[in-house]
Amino acid sequence: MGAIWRNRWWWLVIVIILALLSLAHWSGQERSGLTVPERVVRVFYGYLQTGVAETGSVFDNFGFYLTSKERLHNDNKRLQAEADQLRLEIQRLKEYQMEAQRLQQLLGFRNYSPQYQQLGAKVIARSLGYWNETVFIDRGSADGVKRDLAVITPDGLIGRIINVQKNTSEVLLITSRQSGVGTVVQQTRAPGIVNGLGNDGYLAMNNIPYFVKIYKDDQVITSGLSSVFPPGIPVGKIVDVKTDQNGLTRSARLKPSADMDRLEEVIVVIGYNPQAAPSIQNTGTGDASQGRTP
Amino acid sequence: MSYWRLMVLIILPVFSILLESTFFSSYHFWGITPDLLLIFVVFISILDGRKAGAIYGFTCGLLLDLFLARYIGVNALSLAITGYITGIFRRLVYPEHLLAPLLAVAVGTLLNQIATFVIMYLIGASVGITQSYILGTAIQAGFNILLTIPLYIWYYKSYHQGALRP
Repeated sequence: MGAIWRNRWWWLVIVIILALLSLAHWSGQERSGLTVPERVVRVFYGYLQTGVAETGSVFDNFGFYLTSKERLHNDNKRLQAEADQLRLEIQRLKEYQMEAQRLQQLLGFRNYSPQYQQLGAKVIARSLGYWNETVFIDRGSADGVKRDLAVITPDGLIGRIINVQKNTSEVLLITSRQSGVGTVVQQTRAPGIVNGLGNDGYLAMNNIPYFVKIYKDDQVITSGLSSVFPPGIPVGKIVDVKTDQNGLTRSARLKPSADMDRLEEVIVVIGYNPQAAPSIQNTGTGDASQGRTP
Repeated sequence: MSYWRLMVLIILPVFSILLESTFFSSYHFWGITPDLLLIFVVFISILDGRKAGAIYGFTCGLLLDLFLARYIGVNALSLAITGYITGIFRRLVYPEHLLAPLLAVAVGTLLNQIATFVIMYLIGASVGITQSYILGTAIQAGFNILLTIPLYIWYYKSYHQGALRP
């Protein structure tokens, strides 16, 4: 045992471990920008990821290519190749059809929500690992994207921009444990902070005073009290409400309004003009508390 | 170290991160993707020894940390620990046998998750062991084991006859 401590390499290892722990602690905090090595790696991967995203159909049909290659060795290879060609064409057309539907949905949302100045973006990559819930989009500072802008889909809030490069940006998802969103319950106007629960895919609204009315299926929206998220964006629906051990507060679990597993096209809210909001119409929600279970 | 070996060892982690963040993110299962970096670190570890595994794990982890740009050092440390410990399989099982990488990758996946969790906890990050985390680790181990078979056959051949010859 003593020999280990006399070995100077072990001391070096301990110093490196301590230095890395300090670095990890520091880099885990909110930072105004990235360091030079991080920027270099990000820009390098930004180009690669954009390239991969642009040739995505090749990857999407990868399995198809493999099977069609096998079939080429069969006796009826000519006919089979033709059939494969047509299948690929159908597959590609289906992709275009689905993309058109999604873009139509985005366009509809854009026309319906003139109060948000919007910038369409494509999700080009997802971050790795269990504890890092971010996605990368193909818009950066060259398109006017800045840090802390909200990112949404027609269904609801996705997250906020945390890092910006020239042509790409990183979005911290609301499901991340590092995320916090100022919200209100749409029906009862009960305020609260919504945090992510990691890869569980759910959100949490904690420390709700016991007297505040909050029910299952209530819609939670952004409050607009923070400078990051404009008000009125759907965040999630309450799945269940539990009374905390102290008996004075309650906690709610929310299902995000947007489908966080299928993010392809998103909108960056680059500006917010409350005057441009469409006039409020009766949405037919009725009495918020009717027929609900707390 | 030969020029080709160095090139391949640099290209492997670069493309692993690219593939994991793009291609595999479209084909994930419950948000879990295979961990190619870990697989290659384990291969180095069982064929070249635990010191080489630790150094390669540290380098690959650092590249991943710079790419993620958050908690820099966590993956460098956890992959270095994983690379060092899985080197033990070099003594326990013959590297020629496919069982060696399969066992080492399965244990390595578990070790890496535990190491990452402990390091994140030590630096005060918001982490918690949930049912989905445990299930996610099991799914990832399954993914990694499945990929280990073809990857190790290629890697082992290349290590003895191809570009990866030491």
